[in-house]
Amino acid sequence: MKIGLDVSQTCAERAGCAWYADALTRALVAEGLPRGHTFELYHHFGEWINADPRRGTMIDDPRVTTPLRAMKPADARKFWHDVATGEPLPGKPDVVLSFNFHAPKLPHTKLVYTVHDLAFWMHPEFATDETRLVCQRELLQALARAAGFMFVSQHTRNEFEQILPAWFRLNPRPHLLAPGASRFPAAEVARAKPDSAPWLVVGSLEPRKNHAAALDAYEIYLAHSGLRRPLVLAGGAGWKSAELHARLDDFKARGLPVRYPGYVPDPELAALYASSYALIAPSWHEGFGLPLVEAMAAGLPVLASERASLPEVGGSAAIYFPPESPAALADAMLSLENEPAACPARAAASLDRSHAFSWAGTAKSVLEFAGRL
Amino acid sequence: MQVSFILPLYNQLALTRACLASLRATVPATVTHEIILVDNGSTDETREFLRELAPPHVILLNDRNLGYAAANNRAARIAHGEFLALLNNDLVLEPGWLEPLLTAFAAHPRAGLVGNIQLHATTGAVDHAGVVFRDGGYPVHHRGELAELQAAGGIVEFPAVTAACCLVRREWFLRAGGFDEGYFNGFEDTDLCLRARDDGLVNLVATGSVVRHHVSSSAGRGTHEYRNARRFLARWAPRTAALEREWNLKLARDHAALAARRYFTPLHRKLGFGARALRHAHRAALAAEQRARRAATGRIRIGIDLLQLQPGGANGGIKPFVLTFLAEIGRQRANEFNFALFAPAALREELGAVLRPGDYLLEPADGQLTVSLRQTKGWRAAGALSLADNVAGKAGLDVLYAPFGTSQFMRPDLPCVSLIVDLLHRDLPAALPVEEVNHRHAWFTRVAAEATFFQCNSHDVVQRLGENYGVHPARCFHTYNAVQGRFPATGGALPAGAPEEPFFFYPANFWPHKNHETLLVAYRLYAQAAASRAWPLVCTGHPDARMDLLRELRDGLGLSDRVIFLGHVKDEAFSALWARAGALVFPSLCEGFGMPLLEAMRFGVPIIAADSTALPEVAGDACVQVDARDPQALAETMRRVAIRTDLKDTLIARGHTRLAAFSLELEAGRLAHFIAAAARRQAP
Repeated sequence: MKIGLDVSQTCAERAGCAWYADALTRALVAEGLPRGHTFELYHHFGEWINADPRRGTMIDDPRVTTPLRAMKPADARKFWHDVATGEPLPGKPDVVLSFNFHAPKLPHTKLVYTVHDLAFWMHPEFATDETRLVCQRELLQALARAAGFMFVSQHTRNEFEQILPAWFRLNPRPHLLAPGASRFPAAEVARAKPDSAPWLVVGSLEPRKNHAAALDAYEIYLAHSGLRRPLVLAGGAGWKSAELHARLDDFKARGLPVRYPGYVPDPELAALYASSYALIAPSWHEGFGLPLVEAMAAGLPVLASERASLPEVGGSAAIYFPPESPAALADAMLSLENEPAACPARAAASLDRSHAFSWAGTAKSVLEFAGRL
Repeated sequence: MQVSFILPLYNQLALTRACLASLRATVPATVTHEIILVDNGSTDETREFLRELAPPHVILLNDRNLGYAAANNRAARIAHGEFLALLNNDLVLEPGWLEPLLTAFAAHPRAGLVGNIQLHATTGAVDHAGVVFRDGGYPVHHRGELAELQAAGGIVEFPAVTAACCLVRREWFLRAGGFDEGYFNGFEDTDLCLRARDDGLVNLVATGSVVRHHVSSSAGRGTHEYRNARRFLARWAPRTAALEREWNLKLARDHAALAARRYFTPLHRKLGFGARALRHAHRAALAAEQRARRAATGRIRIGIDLLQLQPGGANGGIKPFVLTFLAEIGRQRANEFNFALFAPAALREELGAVLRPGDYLLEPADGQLTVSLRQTKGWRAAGALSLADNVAGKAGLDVLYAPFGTSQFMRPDLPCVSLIVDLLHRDLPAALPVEEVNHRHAWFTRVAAEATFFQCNSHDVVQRLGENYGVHPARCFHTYNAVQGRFPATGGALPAGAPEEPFFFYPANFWPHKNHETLLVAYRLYAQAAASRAWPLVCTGHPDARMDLLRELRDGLGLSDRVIFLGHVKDEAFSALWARAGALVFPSLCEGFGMPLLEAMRFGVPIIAADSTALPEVAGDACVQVDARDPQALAETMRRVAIRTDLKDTLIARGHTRLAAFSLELEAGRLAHFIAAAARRQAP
């Protein structure tokens, strides 16, 4: 099969969808090439046109082509317009996988559409206007155009059922679960951490990620903890983050051990996971939750919000708390720190749980799914 | 009935008795009247006293002190008189006080509030002979010697008068919404007077009407003074400051004229010199007065840039809004306004209703403007203008009206009224291509500095214009798009494809901010639950590529048989649709007004509306509000409205009541007033 892959979002600063696209693309190529498949990567996709696509996912192999990587935005727009009106894609792929919410019209090939989450309809207050207008249009386009669907979690599949009840029953369309995994290699064994190892939060600064709860809980924790571990927030500035930045400045002014390294690129991020004490994930809503599997693969205990897809991903390994209650999170942090047996047990459970997720595994099921279309 | 006297009461029964006695003694027998007493929760023997009264007294009892504004508004709503006479209970009315007020209305068709001269009850000194502005726009009573005030004229114009004793037309009072109940015992009368001026009315003092007033015997004013003043100034300052300057000049001129008559004539006779210079200055002042008066009453030529109009419905609501308003102000000011319309040739037929004989039509063709003069029958060619020239100057324009916000004919020396329908490019930039966002921002920035006045569709737009471009509210006025009357009351045939049964109706062009995608998903949720009882959904709008896409999305959702896209529908068929509609569903993410809201109220259709931007301001309580970004909430609201007859009836009734506040005559009159003020370079 020739398979087209959407890597459009990997060309900008990368967050959840982009990491998913990049990791799954690499895994599909790794699993697919030995099986005789070839691939075509699109660095612009549908209405997502990049100013400069050269930072996007690149794989050095003659069987993986990148026909759009050198295209300027105006040409890319014309390209996808021509495709919609009947021009075939360069490599004439058998199937095209969309990873970034876009569902262009593809008259000559089959489209498989990935649904990451439906937050823009379920929790509109957590989506920007731009996200909302784009995603609502493109998702409905996918319903009209896609030959198959991928859901990144059962929770997302359930949300889909809630917003569009009985749609799959009335429109039988093949679909499968395609969960993410850690893109960093798993630790051999969960290592004990020094007293200076920090609490870690990974995620861009936006209301949905609920950093405020982590900061509130951290203040309570500091008042009661003997060790007073630092807190590290890794993630680029998203939107509506002015208040958060002000709070971080205030913490720094008070001499509290909070670090904000901003957006952390990959090699440093892996090292950060390895050297942290535990992950805190206080989100109000997630489609999957890549930081959870990444932390678990690094052998970190995980304290996660009990909402959305997080319990599904964390399984019984993570410790859960209600995201509206920083006190509950602070309690969990102190329990983990003060009970001697808790941390190693949780770390081991995390590592164990992380084995349930693998990009290779997801890639294999996706290839099989695409073949059956 | 001619007059409804309205007295709000709060204790001080002795003063009330005296006031009523003086009223009964001074009302002429020929004046049919009622006396409405509104008790604001008095704690003395007032209520016992009121129980003894018989018609023509009407008693309203409030269980607590609702304030001056609310008490008067309540009384106005049940009054029957052509005029409302608003009275304080601490007045002592003198014989012959009422007739000059009635005469003032007879003499001045555009009278707003007519007040009189009030003397201190004990000292006899003049307490009020009109309200002027001082110290940068703060309202104060105009005072002086009684004889001098009466010598100035029987009926004198003032920017405002006190409502302690005044006459106002009941119909206008109700249409304007009465007193603003956000004030508590202070400034509500000056606020009402300024709103009357905005509607093109004038406030007068009938100096022949003199009453006595026990000034400041009512307690409770001082405690609220600061808050009231702040509210008043926030709305009206720098405009009252401008009025202050204008009035000071006028009063000074009047004073100088009076002084000249009194002092300089015998002096000049005695001295025999200086008189010529004085006479010369006096004559020059008189000539300037005459010129100003001529300018103030002469004809105004208004240039109107409609070059962005398109045939059909592609422009959306702005087209019927602008054309209906222009026809109305042309009618209202037929003796005063001449139009010079700049419009594409293809629109000539549609503009027929707007143009009167004597108006000009300028149509672009090959870098030129072909000029045509409208005659009683047909047109006369009147040459051409080159677009490279100073078109506004050559066309002799006194003022430019830019319904599309900006105009290529704007010039630094030409007053301009600019219509701002929304700030979509700031409130929801994601709904527009980035080039369009930049384009709009550029001309908004330019126009914000250059235009004289800004016509906005709602207070919401006034506020956003201020926040985003620093335009002071004093330079803005709002006009509500009260053009729902353009549809014939009884519709023709339903357009082909329309359902016979009740349906959800969303008339809106298919722009992204109109939010059709979420509506489709919400509708699907509603229809799944309601099964065979589900109402269909009908959407109308200019057919374009977006409509084709939405049809595709509808089919993808499996709603082909229940969701109908009718494309552009002409006015008669539109009436037929409104007559059959079960409910209006209006989930738009950004509106400057929301014309379908008034259309729904007019046709008695219940309303579901988004809870953001201008929609709450326009729809008020006559709608069910919903977060339009949330399909589940929208679906639930649709379900409730479709099923619950009591909810539907309540919404329809409220809509009917609310519609009375939207009068084309009033709103278009406000536009005419500001265009005229801009043209004459006067304070509005």
